[in-house]
Amino acid sequence: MGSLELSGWFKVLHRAVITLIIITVLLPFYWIGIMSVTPQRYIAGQAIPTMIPREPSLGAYQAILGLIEIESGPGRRAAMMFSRSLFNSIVVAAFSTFFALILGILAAYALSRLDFPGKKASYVLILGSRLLAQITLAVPLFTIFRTFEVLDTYLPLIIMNTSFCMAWVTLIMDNYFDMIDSEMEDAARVDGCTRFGAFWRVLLPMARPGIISVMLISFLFAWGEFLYALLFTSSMSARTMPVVLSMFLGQYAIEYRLLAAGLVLGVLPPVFLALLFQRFIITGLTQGGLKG
Amino acid sequence: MKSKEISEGKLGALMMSPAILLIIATAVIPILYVFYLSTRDIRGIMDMGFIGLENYRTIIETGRLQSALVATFLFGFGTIAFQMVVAMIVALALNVDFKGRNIIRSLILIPWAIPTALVGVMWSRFLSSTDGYFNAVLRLLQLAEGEVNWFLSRGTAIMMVILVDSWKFTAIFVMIFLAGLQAIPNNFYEAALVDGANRLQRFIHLTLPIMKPVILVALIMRTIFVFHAFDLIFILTGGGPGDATRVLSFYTYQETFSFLRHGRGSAAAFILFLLTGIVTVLYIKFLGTEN
Repeated sequence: MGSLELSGWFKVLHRAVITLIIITVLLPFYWIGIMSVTPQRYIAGQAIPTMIPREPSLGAYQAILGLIEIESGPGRRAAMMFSRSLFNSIVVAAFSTFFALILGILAAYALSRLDFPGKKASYVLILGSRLLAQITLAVPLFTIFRTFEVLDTYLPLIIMNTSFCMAWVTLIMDNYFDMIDSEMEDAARVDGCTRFGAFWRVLLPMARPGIISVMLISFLFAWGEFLYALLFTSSMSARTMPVVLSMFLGQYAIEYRLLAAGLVLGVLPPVFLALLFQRFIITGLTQGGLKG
Repeated sequence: MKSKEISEGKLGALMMSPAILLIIATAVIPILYVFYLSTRDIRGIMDMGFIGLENYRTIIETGRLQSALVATFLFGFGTIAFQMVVAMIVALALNVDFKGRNIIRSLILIPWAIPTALVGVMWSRFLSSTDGYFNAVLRLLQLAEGEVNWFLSRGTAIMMVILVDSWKFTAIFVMIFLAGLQAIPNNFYEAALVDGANRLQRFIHLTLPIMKPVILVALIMRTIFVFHAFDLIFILTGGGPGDATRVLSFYTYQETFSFLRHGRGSAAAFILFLLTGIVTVLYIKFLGTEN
């Protein structure tokens, strides 16, 4: 491959760049980690907030998840909001990912293997829909969802996340299917398998790595979706975790360690998935579409 | 083949139709509807009727559209230029064999995987003028004194939004560049070594030209997504100070959901749609000529 060996001062420069990358990525996590386990007085109002653990405890995690009682009113309310929002986020992300995969994989198979009227237009429509800024659709969608009286429920969030994720799933899987030779499917069809049967029983199992990567990318998107969750919810019945955490900054002044504990819990699933499945994610992102 | 099996065309249309129906319901109809709303005089929840292109004229005459375009351009240009330079350096560094290379590759993916809103919340805490870690580090390094409020002046506010945006999104450029670099065969470089080219010459005369299509695709893609930027601006600056970071997407939001002027908000939204549309058409055209 394109790898080259280094020598002399270039090696030093290379080390410096790598060190800088590590610090830039990890330092923020270290900071929120410290914030989440440190009592308020070592951080709030300090010109130099503590950068080493002082009287560390996991109390903030227990508190924000509602496992132990908090005395302060705002803190208690924050804990209730946060644990509910985590639940909401899981529901929205899980359903959106599920539906996006089904719709997207069906569409991708049609694009990759079949010839049908309107194929080119379908492709352009899917690609185009993925590139639309969410805010352009927000006004009409708000009106439409209000008319159907589904604001402040999971429904608008699941519908919109499904729609956006489905487009990525389609484009990435279309590419992925194209890379798999259709020989095996042809053989299965000669053996009497229907076209759909060949897709279901032969192609899909071979495409498993691709499916894992689009599943992850969809889940990560739905887990982090912010704008629609902000606009289409007005109470804790459907509000998701990113919206609630953003509210903790302004409207609800809460202790830093509670905010930080919430942040840690919110970033944990994506960080875990990114580390565990980096190969799948990179393949999905570089071969299919380029996500923003 | 069995005769009772449905035809290829029918099966294709059948499998594609759920996706297309969803897109029509959630994107095509809303876009048409947003254009309709942009031609109407809407105050609060009262629709006062058709006013032609009056809303477009208003947002131009008040100068709001122009200021939003300027903010979009400054933010977009800054963030893309910065990220591309950083990403190229990182990609070149990761294209070298060294111990722990795979760990670093996973590492750079982490900021990308985190919800943008959470990135915003995190950094808004770090960037606090009184007790944020960012200023604390600057104080420790003797680079700043007292309280520095990054969101008080236009320049530093834009800079900070760009930095935080880059913390998350540079990874995309890195992955694309790295994939491009690894596709370059080694014998390209060997030939250059025989010619006695040094590292910089090799980069400028060999690597960059080969990487040009990759760089262009990434550039156009990211340009489209610059128009999407909302979460960070909502959380970090709220468009301020003044209108410094009020990019077109945030302006659309404000006009519609803060000031409840749905007509003008829709006009801004439709202009945003046209701009993304233009870049998208360029992108598709470009992909067409490349293949």
